[in-house]
Amino acid sequence: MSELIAKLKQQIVEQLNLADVDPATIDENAPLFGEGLGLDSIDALELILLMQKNYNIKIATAEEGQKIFSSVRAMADFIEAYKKA
Amino acid sequence: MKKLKIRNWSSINDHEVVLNGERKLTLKSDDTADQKLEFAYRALGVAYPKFFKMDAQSKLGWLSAEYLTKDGKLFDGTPSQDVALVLSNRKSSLDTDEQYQLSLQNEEEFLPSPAVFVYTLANIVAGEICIRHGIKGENNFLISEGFDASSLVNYVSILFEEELCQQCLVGWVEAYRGTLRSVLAFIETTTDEKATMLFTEEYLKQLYQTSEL
Repeated sequence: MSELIAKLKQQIVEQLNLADVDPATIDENAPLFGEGLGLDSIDALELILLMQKNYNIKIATAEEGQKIFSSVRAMADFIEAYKKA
Repeated sequence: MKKLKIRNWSSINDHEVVLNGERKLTLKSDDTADQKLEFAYRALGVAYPKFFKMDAQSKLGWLSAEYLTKDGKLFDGTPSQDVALVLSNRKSSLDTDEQYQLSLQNEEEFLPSPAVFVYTLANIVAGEICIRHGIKGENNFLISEGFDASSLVNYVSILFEEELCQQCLVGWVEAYRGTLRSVLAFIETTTDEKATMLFTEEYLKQLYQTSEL
């Protein structure tokens, strides 16, 4: 799991062009939106793209997206569960 | 008629960043446009993470305005709704339009980026500058075959005459296929009889030509 979390942090920094953010400094339990990284609505769309491109996961609804993108850990949990299903 | 002067001006091309005719920064010829823009950004010593999300043209316009600031402010004391912004170029947002079109044509990996799509409008660069400096006045982006100093001076003069603005940022911003060129001038009224750098068609044309060198 920790390997996946580290990989996700790196992918988020690259996908969202967070040039001055060191992936290691991202708190996997912190909210991705509103505070923490301060992401916006376009970033949310880019995260959907990240999940599709790297994990072949398609987010079906906005509600599902809100839950999955609540934190890096929530994203990792969802990916793990998806792999097992 | 109100007498208008250029308070300060900046230009950026593939080789340098110039402020009021003085070279502020030399850009490395071997660097890509993106590297040059990042270098010019780092040289300012400001922290604006959104910069890295912008397309090349917005970065160019944002930087050109940023080099005109004093203590981080483009204007001080003027109500934000009385500051106007008039930009122009020839190729609109074609640079980003082409990039986005390529992603649409990629059949193997059809994943067009929303972050690229939002920059497929010329006036997004105006929006980025307005957000940065809190400009809420009249703003417009004019597309013309070449640098049209006459139209820009006429348009901006009308804004002042009609009291639609007290200050105005005006100029040219274009990034296309790795080539950068911008000239921005900050305009305000003056009553000084000896004022130099008057906002005239000839002077504006001269600034644009200087930026080509």
